[in-house]
Amino acid sequence: MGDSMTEKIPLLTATNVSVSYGQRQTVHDLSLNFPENQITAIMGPSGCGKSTFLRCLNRSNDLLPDVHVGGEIRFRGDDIYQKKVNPVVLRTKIGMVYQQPTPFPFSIYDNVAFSQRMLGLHDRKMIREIVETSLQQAAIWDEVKDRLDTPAQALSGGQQQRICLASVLAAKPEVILLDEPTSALDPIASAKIEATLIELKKLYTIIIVTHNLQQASRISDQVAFLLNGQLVETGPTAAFFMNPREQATSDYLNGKFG
Amino acid sequence: MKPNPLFTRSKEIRQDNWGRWLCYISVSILLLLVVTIIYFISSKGIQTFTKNHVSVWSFLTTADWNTGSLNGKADLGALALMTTSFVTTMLAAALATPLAFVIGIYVVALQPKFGQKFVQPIIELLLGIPSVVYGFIGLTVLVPIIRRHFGGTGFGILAGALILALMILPTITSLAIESMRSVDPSYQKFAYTLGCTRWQVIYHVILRISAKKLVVAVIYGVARAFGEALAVQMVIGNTVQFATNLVSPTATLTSKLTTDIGNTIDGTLPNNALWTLALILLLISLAFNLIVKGFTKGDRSA
Repeated sequence: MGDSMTEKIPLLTATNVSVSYGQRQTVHDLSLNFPENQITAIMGPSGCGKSTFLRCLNRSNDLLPDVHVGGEIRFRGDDIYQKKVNPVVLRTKIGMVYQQPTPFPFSIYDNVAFSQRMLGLHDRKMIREIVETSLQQAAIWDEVKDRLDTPAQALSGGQQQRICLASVLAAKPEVILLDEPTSALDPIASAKIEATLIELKKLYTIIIVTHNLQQASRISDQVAFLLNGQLVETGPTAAFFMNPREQATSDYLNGKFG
Repeated sequence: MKPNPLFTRSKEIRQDNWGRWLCYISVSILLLLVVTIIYFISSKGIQTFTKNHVSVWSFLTTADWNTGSLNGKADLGALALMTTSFVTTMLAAALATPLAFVIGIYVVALQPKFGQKFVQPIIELLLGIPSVVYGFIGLTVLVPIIRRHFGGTGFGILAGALILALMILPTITSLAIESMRSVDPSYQKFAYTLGCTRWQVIYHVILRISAKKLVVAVIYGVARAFGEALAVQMVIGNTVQFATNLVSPTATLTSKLTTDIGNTIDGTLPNNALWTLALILLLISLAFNLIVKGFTKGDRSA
């Protein structure tokens, strides 16, 4: 397992993480490291616990009732589940983009400015700068720069998703979590998001949940394969796709299930 | 010869036609009812001006109400009635709205489980209490308390507004809950991810997105308060005059109607004058409806 993290220090580490909803355990004893400035793809069939695991990484699971997270998740060495952690600040450091693009029913500008305003920034010039940079990083600036005052929901699905990405970037995160960000989008819009992510990994650490094998092979540096809430295999992307070590992995890659 | 199956009329087709006609007839009855009510009240209401030659201007701008004398000389001014109606209603809305919104936030965003199980049924229970019961409580509990603590007779705008506030609280609350609940939960999820505290999510996401519908909820509450008659009549004092303070007896459009309608003879000036009050009420509730329409126009989520 350990070969993927030899060159880089992991920014985020998960050790023996278990998650249960009420009585039902959906993630079992999962350990995984996320190296800085790399894209990690978490794959697996529907219901394998990959989204649940992803949500643990920025404590969005806190918002759901009856969720219990065991094990340890460390961000820059600090256990993010210890009492003195402020989950609100943590979520600005580790942002999340969801499957369905959900920009607020506000203008494009207000959407992207939202997080900074919530953090208490009121300097218009600074907000404007952050909005512009974030939209540029999300590769949608050119498409919307002339209509920042129009409703974000009037945009196409792919554009809305990139507005959401820009909103997350505006909070100045270090890690970006993406939960099947392109599964509601057409292939062209998906390709644009993928290109954007490859560009963004220079600045951020990216963790993406996907069940699209091609997508994982195109953009990720490291892959983790989950089955029934357990980590089956993880490793550098090329090795993972060329020479899977586990039978379950090669079955999955060959389309025998999933 | 066998009949051509293409030309048969099946039972299902007949059912279809029958259903369509049933709908047409029901809608027509409804339209007819609305038109006749408006026509009836208008035709009765304008007789004060056409038959009894009271000037519209003085009716709307003077405050003396004296239908009394037998020779037909009368002072008819509805200004005091209208003013009291407005002041009482606005005061009631001002009292009920903050409370309703806070309860709404509690039920939708803070304790959805407990809210749905206990708070909402209680609110619905309040909606079902007949207005005469509210009036009776006002008369026996509220008026004496006000008399003791604020002086006067206890009857007046304060008593009326408090009772109305209690009556419109469930209306505004249940509409507010509905509006806030209609805000897509994925917005809340996304807002938390962007580093919002719970209060920020409530204020900047839930309240901001449902703002228009919340205004409509208040307008519905105001409309209900404005049209409420019985409970108000029991605590307002029923004297047609400008209230000098919140505890002096006065009267509203509706309370005047309920008080006097049994004591007048059809076709006479006192009777016609009451119809004119009814017409004013009708016009004002139409105005409330138009305001609501204007507010919800172009709102895709409504």
